[in-house]
Amino acid sequence: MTLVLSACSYRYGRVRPYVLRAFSYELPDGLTILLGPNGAGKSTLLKLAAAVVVPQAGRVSYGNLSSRSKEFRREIAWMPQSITPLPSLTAREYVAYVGWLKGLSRTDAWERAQQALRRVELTEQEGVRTTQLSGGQIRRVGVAAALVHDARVLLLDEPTAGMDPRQRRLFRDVLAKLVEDGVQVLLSTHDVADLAEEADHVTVMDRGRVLLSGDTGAFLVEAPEGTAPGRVAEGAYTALLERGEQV
Amino acid sequence: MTLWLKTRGVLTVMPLALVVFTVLALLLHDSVAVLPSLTLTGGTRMQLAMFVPVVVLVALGRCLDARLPAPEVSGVRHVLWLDAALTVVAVLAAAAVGVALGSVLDSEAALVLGRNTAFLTGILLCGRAVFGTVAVLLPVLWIVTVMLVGFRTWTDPYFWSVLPEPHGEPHAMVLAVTALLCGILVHQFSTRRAL
Repeated sequence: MTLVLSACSYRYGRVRPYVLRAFSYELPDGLTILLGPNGAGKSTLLKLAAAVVVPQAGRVSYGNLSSRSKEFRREIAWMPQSITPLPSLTAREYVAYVGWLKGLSRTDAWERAQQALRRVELTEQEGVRTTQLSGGQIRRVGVAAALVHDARVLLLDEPTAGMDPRQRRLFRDVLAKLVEDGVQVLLSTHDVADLAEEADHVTVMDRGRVLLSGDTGAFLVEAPEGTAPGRVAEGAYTALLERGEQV
Repeated sequence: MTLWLKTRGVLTVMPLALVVFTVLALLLHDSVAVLPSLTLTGGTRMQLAMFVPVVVLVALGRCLDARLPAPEVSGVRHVLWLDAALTVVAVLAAAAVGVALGSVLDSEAALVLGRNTAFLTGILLCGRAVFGTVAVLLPVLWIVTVMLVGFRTWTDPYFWSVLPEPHGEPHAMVLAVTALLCGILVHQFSTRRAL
């Protein structure tokens, strides 16, 4: 089963320009990194894929499931760029509530919330109110919330922003385990050097267009000759943006 | 649903609001104050009970704001229906308090509390689609507007003002129910658009 966007168009309001126009995309298996400058349409792509917004034209599907179906929503998990902490909820309640929203029973949601928090090493904070967590901790709560209902597709919008290096390492280990289990992951980030070389695939977007979508090797060869080791991914990304070519 | 109640803070906020609502209704049910007016010389004679629904509106607004927009929109549970149910229950509770107090105290102002709460809730919910959380000021603005320009004479309010209309006035009831239904519908559709 694959997540597919077919000829999707979307704009925020009737008078604003389209962010994505007749946009088609098929999510590959494994971990895909989504790169692009601000305003490239990355978040909109993730929102469409998560059925958070409905395209004004085109179709989003997962296998034969339409994005309008409940089954589709159960298979997809989305972590937005900003996580809203609420004073009424502890970390565990937050994650359990998201699990319940995704169709789990209250008991299941409560149990799985604990497991998801353990995976992101937040067990000790499970009883802490979300408004009292640090920026990095609340993002990990967001990751746990995305993991809670065992989705087959994980859409993550800049999940590592605000995490320290150790938390990033932990996060990447969690991702690697999910990919091993057959979960398709699409992860938007500005952190080119940190993540691109670990991904199975890379998609680069600019101004609502896909500049490149292929395996990581195909992405890295875009780096100009003589690029210093350790800056290859960054070099490839910059070169692609500068060329602005659509592949 | 327990988690939804917890997220919205319903069990802590709404009972407290209803207690305050009841106490204020009890204290102010027949109190009248002469307040400034632009249409009447000498000011408007306003029932202070007209301000009492604001307590329920503030609580309701706070509950509806305590949400996780993205997971709620991308989830499979119909939490917007629960929001609609919460709204209706809050209005019905206010109406029940009003009717009970009105019957016991023989107070006209208490009897219309439910109708006025329904009308102002409709304004609140419609306003939230445009102004967000600050829309809780709109019902207050409506009350102030009624105070300033809502009366033809001391005892004759304009039909649109709704709040000072006597109990049993059909058009005021129709406008209140219409406003409430519009508000609930707007809340259903505006929540997704806000993302």
